[in-house]
Parts: sequence; structure tokens; C-alpha cells
Amino acid sequence: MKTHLTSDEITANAAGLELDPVSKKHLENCVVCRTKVADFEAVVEERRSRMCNDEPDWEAQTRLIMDRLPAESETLGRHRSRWLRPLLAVAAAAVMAVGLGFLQPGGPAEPPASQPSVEEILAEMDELLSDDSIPGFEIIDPELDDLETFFENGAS
Amino acid sequence: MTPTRLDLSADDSALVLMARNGDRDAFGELVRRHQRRVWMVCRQYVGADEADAVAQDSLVKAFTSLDSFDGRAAFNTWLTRIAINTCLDLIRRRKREGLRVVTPEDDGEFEAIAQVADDEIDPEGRSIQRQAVDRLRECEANLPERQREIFRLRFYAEMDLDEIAAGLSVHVGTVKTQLHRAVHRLRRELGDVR
Repeated sequence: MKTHLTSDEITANAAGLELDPVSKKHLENCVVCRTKVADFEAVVEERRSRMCNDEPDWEAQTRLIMDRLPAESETLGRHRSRWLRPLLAVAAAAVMAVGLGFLQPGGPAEPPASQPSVEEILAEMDELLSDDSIPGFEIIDPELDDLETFFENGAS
Repeated sequence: MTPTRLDLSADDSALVLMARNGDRDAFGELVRRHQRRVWMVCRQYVGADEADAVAQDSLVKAFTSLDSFDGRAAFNTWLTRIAINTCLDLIRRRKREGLRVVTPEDDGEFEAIAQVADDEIDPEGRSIQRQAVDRLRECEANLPERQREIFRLRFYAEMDLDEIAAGLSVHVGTVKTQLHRAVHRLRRELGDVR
């Protein structure tokens, strides 16, 4: 049979910590040990109940809290800014990525397929320049045609 | 549209969800359920005069932070943590500004007023009890800070060990050790009186 609880065991029980089953059983049946625990608990409970004397009027306290809550519109604004910020960050990152692509030494690697190649552009320009009927390329003075013969055959 | 009546039997998680969606009555119900505990937690850090305002601050802060409640801990535990942080912030701010913080130890005068009525019932018994309570208050004030904090949260705010551990972000083993040391010291000191 177990003797009275040690001071440590009384302390543990008073602190609300678990006792081993044998000590627990002893405590249930021993008035001396139970009184030691109860003495401490009584003082603590007394102090706690005195603190409760200062409790506010809970209904009034609830009203004060509810009056202090931010309006719904403020809350919505807060929610909006919560997802708006990451969205703006992503957009900014995309703009920067595109910009950096153009700043690379070689420029964009491949022209889009819908744009004409350099050879096609040069051929089109040749065709345009050889067409005299286009305004601005018509022959101003027909005699100028003879100049070519003149220079080839020498002045007469 | 007919306003829907709030289901008072809804659990905390359901009320949090409703409050997040703009249902202020749901948050009002959460306030009614938990404000006493929040107040008791605040009361362990600041005096009675300050506790009302700090408890209000804590609950308003909880409302504006509802989106950050992820449900991993109980709502009560999350709320308690906010209350503890609000109190510690206030204490730090006051110290920084060189102002004095009214602590629970400073409430002796308020308690003395309540004792006058008690003494008329059983003068001798009440006198012994009052000595013991006064001594307990003195001894508490001399405990190391963490032991005092844990002791008060356990016995006055009536939090269980897991809640204290979560509220203070410490291991539950630490709570047990500190609590045991605090009670051991207080019992030893009170032994002189009783």
C-alpha cells in the first residue's frame, strides 16, 4: 500500500498534471493528501473569483466591439487589394519579360511567319523602281533618252 | 429578401465562414461565446482598467484578420493567441514610451474593496483567506516571468495545457515543467501562512 503522496506529487496534482495510477488511487482515498491539494486550490480559486469581480457588462462590451468593427466596404476594399496586388505583380513581370526580350543582343530570334522575308521585300522594291508608270518615276523629257546614245557614241 | 436568422447552434468554424462572407451577426455570436475568455487572458497581463479595452482590441483585430484563420487550430486557441500578442504589444509599446503598465499585481486596492463585504460574513475565516490570497499575489509577482504567465493562464484564464502551449508557441512539455515549478514555489511560500 502506498504511503502519502510526496510533495512533488501533491504539486503535480495541484498543477493539474497527471499522476501515476497508484498515486491517483491513493489520493482518492486519502483525506490528508486531498486536503493539501484542496488548500492550495482554495487560495487560487479565491484569487480567481476576485479577479472576476472586475468583469465588465458583457452585453455592453459586445456592443462596443461590434461598433468598432470596420464597415463592410472597408473589408471588401481590403479583400480586393489582397488579390489585386499579386495580379499587378504578375502583369509587371510579364511586361518586363517582353521588354528584356527586345533588349537581347540578337533581338527577337525568329520573325513571325506572317511577315515577308528580306528577299521578298528587295524584289518588291526592284519591281516598283522599274515601273516607270508609277507617279514620280515617269520620263520628264523624252530627249533625255538620247543622252544615253550620246554618251555611248560620243558627242557629234 | 427576408433576412435569415442566425443559427446559434452552429459551431465556431461555421460562424467564422459566415463572418468572412460579411455576416456580422455571426461574428457577434463568436464575440459572445469567447469574449469572457479573451478578457480573462488579457486580465493576466494588464490591470482591470486596461483589460476591457485590450480585450476589445483583440476581438476587433480577430475580425479584420479572419481571412488568415486557416482552421488548423481551434478558433478559441487562435483568438487567445491574438489576445496574448495584443497584450504583449501594449506592454512593449508602453515601456518604449516610458509609461507605466498597470499589471494584475496593482489591483490590490480593487480587491480590498470587495473584501469588506466578505469580512462581515465570517471575519476570522475571511481574514486568514485574505492573508493567503495576498501572499499568493506577492509570491506570484516574484515568480520568473514565464512561470508567472503560464500559472496565470492555467489557473485564472482556465486554459488547458495544450491551449497554453499553442498560445505561447512553446512545447507542451515546457508548459508542464514551468507550471510544476511555479506551483511548487507557491506552495512552499504559502506554507508559511497556512
